[in-house]
Amino acid sequence: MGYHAGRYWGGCYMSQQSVTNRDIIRRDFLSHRRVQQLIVWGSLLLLWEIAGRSVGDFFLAPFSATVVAFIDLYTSGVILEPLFSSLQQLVVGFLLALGVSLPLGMAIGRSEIIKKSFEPYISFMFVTSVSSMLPLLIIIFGTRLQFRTAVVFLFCVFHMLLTFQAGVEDIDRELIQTGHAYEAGGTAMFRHVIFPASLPMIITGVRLGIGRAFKGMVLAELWILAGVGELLNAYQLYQQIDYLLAVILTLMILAIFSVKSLYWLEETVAPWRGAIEE
Amino acid sequence: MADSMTTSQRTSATPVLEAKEIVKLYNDDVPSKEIVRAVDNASFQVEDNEFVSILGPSGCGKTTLLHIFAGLTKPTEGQVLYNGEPIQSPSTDRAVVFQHFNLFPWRTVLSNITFGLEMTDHPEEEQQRRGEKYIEMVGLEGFESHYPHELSGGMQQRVGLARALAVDPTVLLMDEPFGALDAQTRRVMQTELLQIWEKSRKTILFITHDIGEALLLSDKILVMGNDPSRIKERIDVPFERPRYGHNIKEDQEFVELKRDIWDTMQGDTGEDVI
Repeated sequence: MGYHAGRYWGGCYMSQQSVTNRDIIRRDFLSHRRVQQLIVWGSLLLLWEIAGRSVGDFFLAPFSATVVAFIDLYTSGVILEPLFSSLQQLVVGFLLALGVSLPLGMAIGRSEIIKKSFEPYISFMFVTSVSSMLPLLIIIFGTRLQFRTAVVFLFCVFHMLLTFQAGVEDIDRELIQTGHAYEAGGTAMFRHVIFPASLPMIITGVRLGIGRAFKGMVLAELWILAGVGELLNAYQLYQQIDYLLAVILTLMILAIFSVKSLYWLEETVAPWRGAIEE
Repeated sequence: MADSMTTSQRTSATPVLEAKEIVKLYNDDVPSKEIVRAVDNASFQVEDNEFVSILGPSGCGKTTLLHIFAGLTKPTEGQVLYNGEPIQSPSTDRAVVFQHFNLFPWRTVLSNITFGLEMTDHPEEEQQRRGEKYIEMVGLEGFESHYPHELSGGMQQRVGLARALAVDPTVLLMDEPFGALDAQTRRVMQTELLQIWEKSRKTILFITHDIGEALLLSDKILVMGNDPSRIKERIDVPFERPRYGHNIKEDQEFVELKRDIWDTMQGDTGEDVI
């Protein structure tokens, strides 16, 4: 409101123009998204630095030390092997979960019979804390790759499944009717109506699933001390907080990068999404 | 009334569309819910090249009737025939134009128009050829690769109309196609539909609640009531074609017919004439 009023008066009263123009420039500068982001992140990092320096390395390493540790992790190559091993189980667990949840979720969304037969188990598993099942999973799978994959799988499969199901259930019924009216049969109906119509929700589900997969990955590794989890555990034991934070930073960057690239994918393959949701 | 109508209309040629004592009930298999009689004992025929409107207040089951002809829903009782054969399933012989356009948002204008051709396995060149032909017919040249959300309501329904025409149907089933448009766009679209119809002379079953629209477009109007959902009256529209190019709506006869139909419809709903 104030912004528009300033512009308006600036146009009307010549005598006030110099004052209001400066005002407008200041507001324009602050209303820029990048500038806002810079301010938010800058102050956060500054706070981190101050807090780190005041409480000491023993509790919280300052931002500058974390950056140094972060660079060292990669130049020395310490992180590469555990990270590769972690990402491997993340990808396998996630892809297995996607392979199960996509067809099953869509089938549940389409068929009342399949829904009735699967829904009780899925709702049950959805509300159950996967973390509480970890000891049981260790007994079943041991501490090898299967365990880590299983945890990642269980962490993301139900969230994806329910999102895919919702995506199919929310398809505009009139679009399906239109498909019928123009003789779209089973396969064609799926390929040309149901799948594209639920594509935005499928991407949302995948995004959700990737976030969950990262959580599952770290949790599983902290339990059995493998991959990045082992690294985190070691840095905690030896009180190397700067390295601990650097590993966490790596995980954050990876998770944010995956989620962001899915936003980009969504805009590329489904640019019409915004129009549907209006 | 509906019964006397069918006997008087019986001709030697098989009608393109025929409804024989159709009843459509909703919730008849749900014991906890009240049964809704969407269509009650409707019988009528649509002849070849005829433009027939079903006119009625909202909620009188006229859309249900169109869906039955489209094969999208089955009547509870009675028979629906297309060229004398019972209608079992949807077919592009009877192409539907929907009230809310129902375009596929992920398809461009051109590929929305060719959707029916693609589903019925027409070769690619044929799809392209007809797509271009109908884009031109509905005046959307230059918009081939636009997406539906980039178009106005009127333009979207042009795409809907082109999609229906592209499959070269025998019958066009139009479900209040201009109901969602503003008054001005509706007038333009009515005129264009008349022009297109003059050229192609397709058999059209047209659903509307607008008396003026029904009178302007059709050869025959079936007035449907609300309670019960029956066909109350059948009107032969006397105006000469083509009906565009002059303001038919100001003709004395047009105004009188409009008032008569209005009275019939009012008598049914029990609302006061304003």
